[in-house]
Amino acid sequence: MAGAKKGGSSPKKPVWAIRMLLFMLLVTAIIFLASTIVLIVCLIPAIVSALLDHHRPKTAWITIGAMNLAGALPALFNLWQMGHNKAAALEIVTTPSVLLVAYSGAAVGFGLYHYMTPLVAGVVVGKNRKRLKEIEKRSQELVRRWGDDVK
Amino acid sequence: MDSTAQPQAAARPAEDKILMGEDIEIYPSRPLPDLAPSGAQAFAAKDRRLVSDQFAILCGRATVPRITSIGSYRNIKNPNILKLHGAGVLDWTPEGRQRFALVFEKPPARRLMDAMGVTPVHISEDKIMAALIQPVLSVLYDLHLIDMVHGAINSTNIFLSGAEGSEVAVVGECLSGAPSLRQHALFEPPERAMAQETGRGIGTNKDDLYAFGVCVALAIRGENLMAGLTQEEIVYRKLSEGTYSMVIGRERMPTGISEFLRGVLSDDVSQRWDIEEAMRWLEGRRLSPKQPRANTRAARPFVFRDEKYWDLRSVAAAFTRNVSEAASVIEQDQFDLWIKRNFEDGTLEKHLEDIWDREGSGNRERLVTGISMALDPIGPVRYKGAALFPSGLGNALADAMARDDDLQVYGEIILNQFFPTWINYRFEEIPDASGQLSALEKCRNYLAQKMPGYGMERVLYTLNKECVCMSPVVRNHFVMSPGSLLRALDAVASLPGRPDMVLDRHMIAFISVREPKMVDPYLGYITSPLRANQIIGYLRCLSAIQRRFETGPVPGVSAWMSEMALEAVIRFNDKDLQEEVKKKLEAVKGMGSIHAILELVDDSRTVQEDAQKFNRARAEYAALQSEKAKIMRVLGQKRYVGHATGRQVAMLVSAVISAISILAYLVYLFAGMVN
Repeated sequence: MAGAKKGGSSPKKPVWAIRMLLFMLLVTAIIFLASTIVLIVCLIPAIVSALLDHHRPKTAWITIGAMNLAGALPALFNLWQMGHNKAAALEIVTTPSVLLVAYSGAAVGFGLYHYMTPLVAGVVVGKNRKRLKEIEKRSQELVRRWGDDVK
Repeated sequence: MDSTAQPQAAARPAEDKILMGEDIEIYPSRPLPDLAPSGAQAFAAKDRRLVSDQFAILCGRATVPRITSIGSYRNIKNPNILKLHGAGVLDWTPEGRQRFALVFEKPPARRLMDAMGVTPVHISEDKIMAALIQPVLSVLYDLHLIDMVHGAINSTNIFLSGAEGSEVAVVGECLSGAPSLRQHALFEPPERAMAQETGRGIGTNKDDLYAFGVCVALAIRGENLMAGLTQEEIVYRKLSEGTYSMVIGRERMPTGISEFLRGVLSDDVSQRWDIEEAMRWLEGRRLSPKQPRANTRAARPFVFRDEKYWDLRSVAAAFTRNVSEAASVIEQDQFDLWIKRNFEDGTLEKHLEDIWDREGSGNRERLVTGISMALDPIGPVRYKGAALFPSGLGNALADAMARDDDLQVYGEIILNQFFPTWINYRFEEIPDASGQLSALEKCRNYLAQKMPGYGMERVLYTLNKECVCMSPVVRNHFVMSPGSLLRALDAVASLPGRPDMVLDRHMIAFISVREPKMVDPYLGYITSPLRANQIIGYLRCLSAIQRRFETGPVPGVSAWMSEMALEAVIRFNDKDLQEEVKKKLEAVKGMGSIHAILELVDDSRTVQEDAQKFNRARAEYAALQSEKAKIMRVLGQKRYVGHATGRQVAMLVSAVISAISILAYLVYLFAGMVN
């Protein structure tokens, strides 16, 4: 029971911190509503990928999101140059070229995620197979030199 | 002793002579059967340093020559005993085997009696003191001074030197066989005469005097008392008439001689003269007269198998000759009544009751043996045809082993503890009775152990200090010490059909008793069920012997052990090391050093390092298998292998590219603003 109590009390802090963070983000988003609008629209691929990624740890949204962010940055700067208001934000998010740049970034991120993962996995498999051969060879050498008793 | 026991020099065959050492020649083509004791051979010999002639007696293993007494015998400075000129092991080329040779001064041609069946030389009463009694007693006294018993005093072994009418006796040798081994029953006190020749034991100087008394009586009478009598009949007559009456008969003896003969021929051991008393008599002192007979006669005879017996010793002898009938008689009250009415001996009755309680419902042989010991406590232990004293067991075993006879009966005698019972009946009379009991108890324990180094073989070498190694493998050698055993094995090694194992049970027991340090520390290896360990044990033992006895190179044994050691290299776990050791073994094969072989297969540092490396190899193998299982498990999930890593790498790459892009954009932007 004591353990359960201890275990039950520890997760409260992160939950509280997350709630605090979300609250501050919400406040910030409301204060910078124009930027929030631009970012939400431009970062739709990152948001979608975060929702759809079932792998643990979730890396897809970071991979896509990082490139998506890089693509969304010109739109954000553009907004800030246009006075950072709601009208400007709506104008920007309805401009196809802006969205194209932002989504292209996301596409590049997706490309990295899609092609880089099997490529690296192939390298890992190859490395393991090579290690297996080495183990087999060393085991045979040990058996040859020390006999079956070494097993 | 070993210096005497070893060949004094390598015996070299010549055309018709074999050398012992540098100076003594033995001529195989000139046998002297008249001088050969029973079970041995005699040949003419010549010591080049001397003018006189010598002869050599060649002994085999069965007669058990008295090797440990050679030094004492050599030191006797008495002209009335055959002088020993040399002793040692010879390669007797005519038979292609080793023999133990004793070279003596050639005795005079005449003897007191030429053979057991013929009439003895008559010596008149007035000459017998100077011719026979004085010289022989002086020899017996000299033997007494060196604590040695002759054990072969009889009329055929007393020679007469000098012209007829002025003869002087010269006592023959006693080293070529165990004491009393060749003595006719006539020359043994009745209790010893009842024992088998091989089981009489060493005896005392009283036994020598007894034998000499018979010789004196024969010489005075000039008659052969053995004529027409078997040894058994002689014993019976001694028991029934008494020895003095039997050997003197109706002869009238001078008072002095009669006193001497009554003294030395007394059938009561406690009354029989010893050498001190005999010497006092010789000096002219009068001694108390002895009773001529010791046996208590019954008032009424005991009838057994239609024979009448008047004394207990005769009954005991008759019982042991007819066990089944004796057992039936013992079970009847008649025997008890005869004992009680005629002897009134409380101790005897108690002994008989004890035996009846112990063996009454058991084996008849054991019962009769027990009864016979109680009836005749000074007689031998008689069981299943064997008749021997505790001190004779060693010789009896040696003889039986040399003849490949069945040893079962001796084993049963030891296990049934007849000897301890016999000793306890006469505990006060027997010198070192407790020592003998302790030795017999040890022997009983040896028999209970079946492993090499124990069993009947160990009993033999423990009880018989003179016995050479009786192993059938070295039957053509005369092996007196572990060192000579190694040399014998060196010769055997090159023969076809050599045994599979270099040391057999006999050899291990022989070494263990004679030189315990040479083999006892390695018995654990030798008796191991693993052949590799056995070989290590043999190597350690033989190497210790080679060092201790400084035998020099033994190439035959070395080659033999090298081949065997090939099987011992499996004690190393490392196959590479095994191959390396095998090559080295091949290299040291003919060097003759057993230590060199031992160092290759039994170097403690190498063995320890091998064990440590093997343990490390096992740990490494286990770790590899664990890693292999882990990888196999990972590769079994092929679809997902590396994906997590891939995703992380993609994330990192994406983050890096993104950061560079953002940085580049910001640089571009700020550069435009500046411009």
